[in-house]
Amino acid sequence: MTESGFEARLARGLREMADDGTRPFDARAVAEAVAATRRGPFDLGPWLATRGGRRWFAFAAAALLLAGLLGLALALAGSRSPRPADTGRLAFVRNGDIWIANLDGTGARILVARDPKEAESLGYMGVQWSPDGSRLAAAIGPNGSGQAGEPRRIAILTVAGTPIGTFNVEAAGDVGPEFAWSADGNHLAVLAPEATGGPLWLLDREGRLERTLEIPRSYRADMPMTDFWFSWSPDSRSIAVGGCPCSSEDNRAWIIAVDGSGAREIRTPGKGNALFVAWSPDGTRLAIGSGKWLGPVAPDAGPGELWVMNVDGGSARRLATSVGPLFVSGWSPDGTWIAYGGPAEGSDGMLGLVLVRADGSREPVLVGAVGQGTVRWTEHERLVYLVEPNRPCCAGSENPGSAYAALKDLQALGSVMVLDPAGGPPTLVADRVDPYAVFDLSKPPTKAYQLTPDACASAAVVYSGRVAGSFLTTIGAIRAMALFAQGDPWPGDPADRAAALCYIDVQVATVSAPPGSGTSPPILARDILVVIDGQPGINLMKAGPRDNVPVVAP
Amino acid sequence: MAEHLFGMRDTLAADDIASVVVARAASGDVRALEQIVSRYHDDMTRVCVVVCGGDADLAQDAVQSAWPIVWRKLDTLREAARLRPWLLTVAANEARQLLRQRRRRVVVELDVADLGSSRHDPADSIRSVDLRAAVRRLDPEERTLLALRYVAGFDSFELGSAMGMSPSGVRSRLERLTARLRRELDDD
Repeated sequence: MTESGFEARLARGLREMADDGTRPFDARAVAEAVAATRRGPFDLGPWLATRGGRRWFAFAAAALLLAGLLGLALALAGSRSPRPADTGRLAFVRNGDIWIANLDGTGARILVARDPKEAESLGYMGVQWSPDGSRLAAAIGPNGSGQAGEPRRIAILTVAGTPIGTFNVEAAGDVGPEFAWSADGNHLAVLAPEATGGPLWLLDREGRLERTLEIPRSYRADMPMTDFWFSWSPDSRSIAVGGCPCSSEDNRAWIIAVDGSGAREIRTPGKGNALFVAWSPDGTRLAIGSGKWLGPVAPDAGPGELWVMNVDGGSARRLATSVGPLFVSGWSPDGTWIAYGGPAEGSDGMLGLVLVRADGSREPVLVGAVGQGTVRWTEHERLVYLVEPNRPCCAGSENPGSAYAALKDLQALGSVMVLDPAGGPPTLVADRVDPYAVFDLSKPPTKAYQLTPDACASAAVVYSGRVAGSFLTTIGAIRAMALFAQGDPWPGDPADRAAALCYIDVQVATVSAPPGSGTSPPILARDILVVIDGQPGINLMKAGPRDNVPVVAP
Repeated sequence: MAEHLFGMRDTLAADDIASVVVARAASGDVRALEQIVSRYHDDMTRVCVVVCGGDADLAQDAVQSAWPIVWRKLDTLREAARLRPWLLTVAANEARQLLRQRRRRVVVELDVADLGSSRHDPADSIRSVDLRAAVRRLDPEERTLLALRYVAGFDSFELGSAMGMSPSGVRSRLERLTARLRRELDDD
């Protein structure tokens, strides 16, 4: 075969590509490592070459197979197989900064640092993954040392920490805000306790206000101690809201339609305030934790009760009682278990992490200490929760109406732990975690990604060339540069192929302001490049809402 | 003698040297295997890099997986003169195998890229990036064909043997492939 001119260039390019992938190696070490894979003292090759050897081998193999099958049957009958590893990633707040880590504790790194231009007291207060894992919602606020009335914001970030949008939370008190993504990831609900404005805001994926949902006025008394919690329905159409007027007992919770068409109440049979609500995975039931509200760490806030009922309020069943309110944290993925935090019997005055079967078929089981109400289930039904060492459940609060005040006074640092309810001690995932900040666990990715580390850098080179070429062709006196490229995994690729979004800041300057002139060209736009299977520049697209977002110059 | 077999071109023919080394390695001589590794490891890596679409880490994994196979099956190699194409074919097959496995694995990790690390003329970089992108778009089978032809220098008979095709079939497939790449890269 002879090579044409193009083939010669192709061959040269391929060889360069191949050369770039070679690395120094130690031939002796490789050979010795390889040799160790065979030629041991039990090399049966020569023996197996004989007819007798083969016959004995067949007999031994059959015997081993039978023994293996017997052992497998016994193992299946006697015990459960070990749970596979979980793939979710933890996002948490440490010293006001957002961190991420793998669930085995590896890969911990700071994702977004608190803005040093902000007031000293402001930092991140909590973080939540969007359901598709492509972005984060985070609350910014007084970071444990602020006062009521200090500003609160919700920030939407890419998983690389790039800001997408922000929403200012009006008139929040010294708690919260509460916020959560809808199951379909299209909305973020934000609820600011003690807010004087609309108490429940619905934001879109970019952090823009879509709608304000009103919690019924009669229920939401304008009392300073008013507090609410909420839970999205699995179909993303409704939000269940629990809380209290905190001046009296109110056993009502509300199911509010997201489209603004109204709200309906459901009542627990108990007398305590219906505080914490959690929708079952199949959307048919609600778990409600109740208490006589004086604050979650106040000693006389009981009796606390855990109720499970249908979403129409029927078939209510009390699963647990306690001396204090029960922070219902969520259902196991299969709907079998409910995890809650609360002062449990046997927890020696600490807040305990308790599991109870949703059908009430077993007594609640205390599985560990817990610091705050947030508990997440992994896809393989391990529990992820936050503990604060030596924090008594019912002391240290100067203001019994504010759990937040109690926590910040104690200045305790938390640790995120993972626990297999089937047994074994909990393992540490992250320490020095801000105890008052909500952490979150990403759902396992539904798509397979394989991105080369330089996918966005390569894309930026191509992009830069094309943009520069385009400008030079059409205008002639403008120089364009792609200055910044940063990639996010993009799970929305319909072809189930590896994909990344690369954000590229385009800086355009006239020739009269050449590089080095001391004038930094303004960044005009942030464009988004879709890189699929590491192929840069294949799909170049503008993402409308994200175009021309304000960008802080590097 | 084993330590310098590949260097003894002045006293032994290349085929004879290869035969001796292969025979010794096949009989379990680790030093002979070291000679083979020393001589062909880079070639195998280079082929695998292209088969893996430029993923050097995956290519290294593929070569690491290939060596134990080579070690186990070396005694099945009938012609020592065919050692190099055989090794490269084993490596390419391992790379394709790993690619299939990798597609089922979940990897979500991407570091912030640094544009300033580009070392070359932007125009060269763009051409290089375009070529690499075009290569990544190919399926592993096509990348294997390119790697064995243009990186390993296989002729159509060797390619046919490695790919399980006739030499004429390989030639026509290669022609179609290069024509497609030429169109994609706007190379007139």
